[in-house]
Amino acid sequence: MKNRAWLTFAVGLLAALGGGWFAVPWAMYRRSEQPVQFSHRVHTSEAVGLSCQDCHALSDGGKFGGIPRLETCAPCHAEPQGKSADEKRFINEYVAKNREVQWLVYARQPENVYFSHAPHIRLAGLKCEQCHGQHGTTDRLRTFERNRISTYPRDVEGYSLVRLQPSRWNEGMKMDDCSRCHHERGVEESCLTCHK
Amino acid sequence: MTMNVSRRDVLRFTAGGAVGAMMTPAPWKALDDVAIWTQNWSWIPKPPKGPVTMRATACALCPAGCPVQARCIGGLPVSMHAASGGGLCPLGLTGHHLPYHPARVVRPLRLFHDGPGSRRIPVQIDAAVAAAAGAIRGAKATSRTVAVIDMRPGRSVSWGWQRFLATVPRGAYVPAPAREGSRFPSGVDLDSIRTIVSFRAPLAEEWGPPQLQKRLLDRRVNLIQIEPTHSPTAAIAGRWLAAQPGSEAALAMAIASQLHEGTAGPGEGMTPEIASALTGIPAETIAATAREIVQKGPALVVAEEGLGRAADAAIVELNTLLGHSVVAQTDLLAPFAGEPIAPATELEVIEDSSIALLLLDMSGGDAPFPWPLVRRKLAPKAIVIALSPFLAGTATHADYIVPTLPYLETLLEIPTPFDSTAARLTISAPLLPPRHAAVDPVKFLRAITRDLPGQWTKSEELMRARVSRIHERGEGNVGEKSVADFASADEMWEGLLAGTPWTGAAAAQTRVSVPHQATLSRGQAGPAGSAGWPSLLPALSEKDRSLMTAVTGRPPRQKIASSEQRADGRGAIDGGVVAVNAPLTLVIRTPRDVTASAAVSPVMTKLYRESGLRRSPEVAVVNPATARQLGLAAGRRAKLLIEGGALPVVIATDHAVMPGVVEMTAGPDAIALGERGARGRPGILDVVTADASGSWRTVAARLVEA
Amino acid sequence: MNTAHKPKARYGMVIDLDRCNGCGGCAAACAVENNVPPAAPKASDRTGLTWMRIYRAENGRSFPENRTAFFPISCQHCGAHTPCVSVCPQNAVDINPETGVVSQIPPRCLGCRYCMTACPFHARYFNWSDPEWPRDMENALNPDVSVRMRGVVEKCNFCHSRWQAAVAKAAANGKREIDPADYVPACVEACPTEAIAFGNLDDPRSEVSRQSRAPNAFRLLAKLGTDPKVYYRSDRDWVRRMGDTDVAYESEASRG
Repeated sequence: MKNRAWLTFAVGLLAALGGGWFAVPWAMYRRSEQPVQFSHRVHTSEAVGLSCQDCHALSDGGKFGGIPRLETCAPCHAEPQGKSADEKRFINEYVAKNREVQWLVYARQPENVYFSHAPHIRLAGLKCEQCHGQHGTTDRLRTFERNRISTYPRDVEGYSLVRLQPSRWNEGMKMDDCSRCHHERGVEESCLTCHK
Repeated sequence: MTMNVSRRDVLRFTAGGAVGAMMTPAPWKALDDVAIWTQNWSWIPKPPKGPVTMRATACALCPAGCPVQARCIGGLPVSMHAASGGGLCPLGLTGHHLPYHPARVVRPLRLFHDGPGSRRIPVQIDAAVAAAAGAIRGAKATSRTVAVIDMRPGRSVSWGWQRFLATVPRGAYVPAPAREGSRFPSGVDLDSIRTIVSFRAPLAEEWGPPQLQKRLLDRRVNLIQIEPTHSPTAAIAGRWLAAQPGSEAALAMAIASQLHEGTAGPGEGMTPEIASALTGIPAETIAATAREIVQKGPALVVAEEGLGRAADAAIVELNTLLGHSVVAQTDLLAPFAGEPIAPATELEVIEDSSIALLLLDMSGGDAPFPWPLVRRKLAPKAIVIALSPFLAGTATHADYIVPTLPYLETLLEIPTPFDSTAARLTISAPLLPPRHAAVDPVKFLRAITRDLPGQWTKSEELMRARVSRIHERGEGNVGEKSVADFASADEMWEGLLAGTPWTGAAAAQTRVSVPHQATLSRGQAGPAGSAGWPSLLPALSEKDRSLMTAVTGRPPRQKIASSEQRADGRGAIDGGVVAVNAPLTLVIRTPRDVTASAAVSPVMTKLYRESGLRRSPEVAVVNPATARQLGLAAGRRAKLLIEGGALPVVIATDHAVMPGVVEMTAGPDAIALGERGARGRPGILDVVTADASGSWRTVAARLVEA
Repeated sequence: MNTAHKPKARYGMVIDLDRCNGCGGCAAACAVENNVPPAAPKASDRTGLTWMRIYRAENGRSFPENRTAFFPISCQHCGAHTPCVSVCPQNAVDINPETGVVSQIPPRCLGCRYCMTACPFHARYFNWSDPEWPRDMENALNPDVSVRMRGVVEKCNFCHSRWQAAVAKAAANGKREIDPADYVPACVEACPTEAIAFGNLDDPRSEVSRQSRAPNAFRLLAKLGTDPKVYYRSDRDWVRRMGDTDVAYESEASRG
């Protein structure tokens, strides 16, 4: 009888562990695909020869362009550059109709956060990959995951559940992550440094 | 072994689950996420996202027409900035909110003024067109008047109205008193002026472009402010003369008589002593003021409009004496040459009960004036149609409202402002797509009449026609570029759309626009039976108190007994001429930011309801001493009784207001600002009417407990 | 919090009260810049949100000897013993080490309003309701400033988003120092009479530093020793004396 008691306890424990480590984290995110598939690798390959800054530009005014608008893509993509279905759809539904693509932004920070690329790129000399990983060499756009409760994208929240290597790019871009990097580099920080 | 799940098993399982859950990230992450969720409520409005651009246009909210830069996100303006640096007025700073104003008219409306407040029902535009066309036919048959009150005279569309009114037998084109333009002698080079004598004009508050306020505060101009209130303008003036309200004419004449040292001329016989008795200002001060004007010349006299015929005439005369030649203001070029147009006329020369159709063109803005002055001119069953973007301001009196597009959603024209020495044309280009369907004023005009020759059917065509004529003539510049350097009129039009005004050659002589010109040129008696201008000044030169009574339109004031002065414990007042026992004198102020546009941005609550900076229109302000004498405390509800009717008011006390005076400010209903569905209550301009002197800014009033 | 820490720059203002005509441009520009919503349906001058509020002060004499002055009062950005910083249980208020600006971080604020009680200048405001604009007017909001929710305190931060933009602009050009012309708060920019000077008080060449040392310069409630970074100027004795009083209270009490 005693064994049975412990067994029941263990089953409950195991069920919770399974749920807590696998089922819940999976169910916590709503997954959606980008409206159009896009290969960064093709664009940064030698054949095309673009660099990150060619499309994700930082203006002299200090404003980072973020995801390029249609006007950046349209000059090359007035005609289909390849035979993929996504390419055809991009031309027909967006370029031809002059409609902006509603990209899902992986690293979109919430409304109360201020972040400027300019000091991080130009003054701190950070590389794109340090925060965004090898995104620039991927063949397809990852599935976009958004937390159902907090509504933050998973790139902001981080992919792993236990933060063993907090400096890895996919460990997230939350306040602690920004703060840690500022601390490590001895950069001044206070509320208004990152909040608006 | 059979599996009997007991209550204990469930508890054990749950305990195991609870312990297990603690060892997973799930509950901790859920807590964290919930905390984040509470920081980002979905119903909190989110600012727009998109590329940032600066777009140039011109502010069309008041006749000053300041060039502005709009900071736009995704093409939509989020803040307004002065194009040349420097500041803007609150109205201009919040102008980009107006397209979103809850009082916008989204479809043609029919208003019924049959009960308390007005009922409104949406109608088809055809109903308004049919009503107007019918009224025009009726006016022709019964030889009644068709009138247009143009809130922004001098535009191409204004010419369109005048062209139309020339085709009806009795057409009357009435330019609304455009505040600065009507009483500020236009075309005067302000840079050359060293002294400004202001009769109740709120120069330092919001008069003309903000640069004028800066000049006044830089003390580059010596300001003599004549006003019964210690207003912000009075506060920065070099000399503040707290003249009795209503005595402006006498004071102007007394200064005039001093200027020509008592020899024959305007104001002859109005000695400082007599003026002192009327104004309450010591005779020596009046004489000293006149000397100051001469010593610190060149000087210019400006005045608030609505002070009455005698004051208007005296002020024009004073300006003439100071060397500002009286020349009728020449308008900008008409869009088409040689076509007959109805001349501008004054409302008061229109026969009472004669208007069968009244069109209120508010497509360019609003202008404050008392509605009873208009109502008196309406025939029984007259139709009043307002072309307005908002159901607010003067439009609330109309029978029909035809929606037009507001500032920033449509092309608007700003003619020569009062402070420009040369002709000027500014185009305010739209920055926003129209949010609601609207009717172009010229299209509406074409719809209501078939007798109008010409091919133009849209406001823009008239504006372009005018620009073509300016281009043909080849005079002046657009910014740095000479008109002659533009290859075509279209090219010049594009230049104007960028917000840069066209400026003509500087006028050879300074001009003074003549108030009540129509009255004066006809040399006829004013409607109230008082003398017209030509006979007015000689009549006043007799040292006769009773005649002066006729000029100022109210009986001579009684001196307060000195014991009464001490009774309020506040000491004597300069000159000691105050009316204490009723009637009080009602003084009406109309700050521009709230009256140039029928609707103001909802964030104007910062200046009204959320701070004590601006008075609400329902507030009647009196001196604390007067309040004590009347037995009315601050915050109490009361009733203001004037000739035109009664108005519920809330009493406020302020040492800045002259004893015996009750001050009210026309403006938006501070409670209704920005609140959906809120209805404006009647304001002072809905009730007040002009007295025998033609003045509505100073009228007799009583305050009684509500 | 570390209130004794000396900031890199001390941004401050000098407001010339003899040049202020009470037009309200600063208050309107501030509301536009900082997404301050219009008054809530029942809001009054006690429950409104006015980061920059203009008080009308009187000399206490009766007509016609009465005189008025307008006091535009925003957060005074106290540099020492900052009352709001020391009382906040949430660390939602601190002094920015780079600008000396006293911050207020709404997402951290729990709405206890202790800071409002502590502030001697009545410069902090509480959101009694959720912000609401007329339909579609959120398109006219400034994306550089987040919109606050019900239940949090807010106040002037010297248009910190403009400082952030200036830093970004400088950084884009490889510079660590901002161009002072790029950082001008909305109220300063909007003032038609140029009554407000703004800049780094620690830079002896700046206009604001020069004016703050003028003989007619004073600070509100200087006796409290909170080292405000907003200075006022006036040549009128009675106006300068007002600086020792609670201007907000006095100006309301003197008017009915």
